[in-house]
Amino acid sequence: MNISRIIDVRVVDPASGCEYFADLTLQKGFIVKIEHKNRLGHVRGQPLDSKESSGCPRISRGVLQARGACVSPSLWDLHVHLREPGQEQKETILTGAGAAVRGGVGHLFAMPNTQPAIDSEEILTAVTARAAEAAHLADIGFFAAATIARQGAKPVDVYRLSKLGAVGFSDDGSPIGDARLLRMLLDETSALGSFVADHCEMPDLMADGVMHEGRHSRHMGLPGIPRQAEYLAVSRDIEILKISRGRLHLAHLSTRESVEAVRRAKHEGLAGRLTCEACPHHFSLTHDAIKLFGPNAKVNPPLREKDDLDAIIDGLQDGTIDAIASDHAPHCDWEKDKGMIEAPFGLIGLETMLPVTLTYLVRQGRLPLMRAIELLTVGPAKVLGRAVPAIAVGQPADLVIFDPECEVVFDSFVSKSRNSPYLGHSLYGKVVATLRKGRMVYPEGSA
Amino acid sequence: MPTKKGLRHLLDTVSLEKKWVYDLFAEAARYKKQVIAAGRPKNDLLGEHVGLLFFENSTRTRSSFHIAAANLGADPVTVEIAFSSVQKGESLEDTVMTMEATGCHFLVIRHGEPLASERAARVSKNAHVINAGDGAHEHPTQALLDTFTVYERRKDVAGLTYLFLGDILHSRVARSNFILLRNLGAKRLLVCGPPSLLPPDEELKNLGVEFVGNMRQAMAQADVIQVLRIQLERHGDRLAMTPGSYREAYGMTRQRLREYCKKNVMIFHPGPMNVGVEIDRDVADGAHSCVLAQVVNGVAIRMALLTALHKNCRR
Repeated sequence: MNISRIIDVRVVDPASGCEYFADLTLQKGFIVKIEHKNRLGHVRGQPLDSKESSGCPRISRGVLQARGACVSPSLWDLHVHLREPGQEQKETILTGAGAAVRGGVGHLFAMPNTQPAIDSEEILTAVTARAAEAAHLADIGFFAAATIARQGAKPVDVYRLSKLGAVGFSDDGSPIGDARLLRMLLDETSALGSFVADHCEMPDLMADGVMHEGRHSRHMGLPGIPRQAEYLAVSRDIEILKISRGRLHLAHLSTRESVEAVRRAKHEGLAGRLTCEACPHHFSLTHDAIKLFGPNAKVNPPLREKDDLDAIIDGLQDGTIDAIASDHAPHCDWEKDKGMIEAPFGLIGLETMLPVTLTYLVRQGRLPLMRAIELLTVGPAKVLGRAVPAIAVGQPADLVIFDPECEVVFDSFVSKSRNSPYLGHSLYGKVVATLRKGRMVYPEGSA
Repeated sequence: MPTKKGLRHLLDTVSLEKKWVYDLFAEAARYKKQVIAAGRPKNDLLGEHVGLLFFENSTRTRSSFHIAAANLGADPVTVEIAFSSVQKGESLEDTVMTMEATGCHFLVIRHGEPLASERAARVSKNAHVINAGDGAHEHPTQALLDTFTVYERRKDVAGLTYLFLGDILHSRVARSNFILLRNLGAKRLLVCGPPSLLPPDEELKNLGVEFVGNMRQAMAQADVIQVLRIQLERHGDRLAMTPGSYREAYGMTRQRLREYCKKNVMIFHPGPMNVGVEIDRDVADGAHSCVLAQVVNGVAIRMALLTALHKNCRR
């Protein structure tokens, strides 16, 4: 249904850095009016009733009221796996979009490690057409593979794929191992206003590891993935960027050394050309989670140590890390049930990204709400080189309304899969509603 | 190297003085009229032997030197590298000394190694060594004939803007042209092409060359466009583009010629061309194309060069 007004909400607008109470008026998919208020309920003279903070929106005749809730531009997720084509049993573009809007995500960007990979005009055209069928829910973009079939050998036609709308180039799931090829891709994408996203990993060191190499892997007798497997690749990529022209984005950083290497490189003058992201599981969980959640906490890069987690949070705080991304990676139950050695890497994150961020960073006082929302909206938009989303008159009404104080239990997921370490857990920060062009796309069928 | 006696070898464009170049152009123009157009060979180099040592493939440069020598009454001596002692492991230096000992006073060398002709010059006792292309380093006679072609048509080299399109990084033609044109005071040198095939920014700056990212802007300013061969055999699939995409992104197409270029633009290509990739057939054969003029002028400039080296440095 179309929403014409959102009343009594706290606007959190990272584009301007302003936080205030207001009523928003929407028309034809855009924000047309913002009426500031001194404080919540002041105008109506009604006291804030804690019972009203139920996380459920009250809607009548297109007016949405959610006491105690915040509104911000809908979230951007730079890094998701939608599994289409080839693994539709895990997720489809449509179910992924459904999961996204439940998580308040209105803009999601899928990685090309599908089967077949998104490495040609045909496949990119096909997935783009499928995304158009889900466009009523969310804006979905696609990375194209950097090399044919993600084999790391023969580069794709970056010119053609860029013209067709590929948002960037990545062999995600695998690193671009050939350094000369990475250099060439960085150079070539620079002429197209595009960029390369790399999954930093040294395959030789990663070997058959299934979790972070450390105390717990040794204790459990599971093959480990040393931290060097990531940060050596991060350092290599940074050095190659220095002798290249384009822009480089580093996916899912998990170690202290990686964060520090990026921080140093940005200080040394690469700030305009180097970006990186971190995932909610890497700033909320550590490698002992494997003991608790088993394969549902098996992810690559793996959950690391407390010290790494702290370094990532520092990076989120000081701007070393540009964006929070979910690395939403759905897998079937039967695959995850194979056990730690055999189960595939990855966990879903679209629906839990905001609550995990709010619970582990904002509620614990480790990150201001404004910065957290910035990392989920403005940050990723900048990484992609897109217009920065804002709460302002004339901006599209792509919005998320969420209640940071409201608890939500993740018993089930909209995603086709449920491989999440948060399955059955309670987190703070409920998505009250997600709006796409002024239309409420989550919750479905309400009012 | 310029000596008291004058230039003995032609190894690069760096050492060329303005006056020497313009004198060469005048001589080339004279030969073009008196010999090539009239079809009357001269005997200026009668009895001389010109050794053609082509360690790399070539059509136009080799035949151009061959005909230039013949037009002057000299004897071109072609060493078939594929059937020569080089295949038995003879070094470049030994080959050069052998050829000189057989009586070649000119050694024209094309080699895949940069600075190969310098190595040859170092061991030659009296011969004139001419660099006919050494790796990605230089191709001075190509730059001379290109510039001569511009000079012939516009009577001016300095006041013009030159655009080089395509693989600048591996192009000895581009490099020699940059250096020569700068020596002659060309107004502006522009490049446009795939970023991975451009030298680093610092190097472009050293060469006095500006990178223009937008094809339309670059073309609109150019009086001369030098379309470079996209060396598919060398980079092959290492370029993140199909030939079709290359044409769309950087090709000298009919449409671009019509819509973006100056009315009197001169279009060059050092050959061999990938027609339909870096240049359209219509453009290569069209009224703006100087491709065949380049070939004719190649003979003239090489005749002038052989005599100039011979005169400047009498043994």
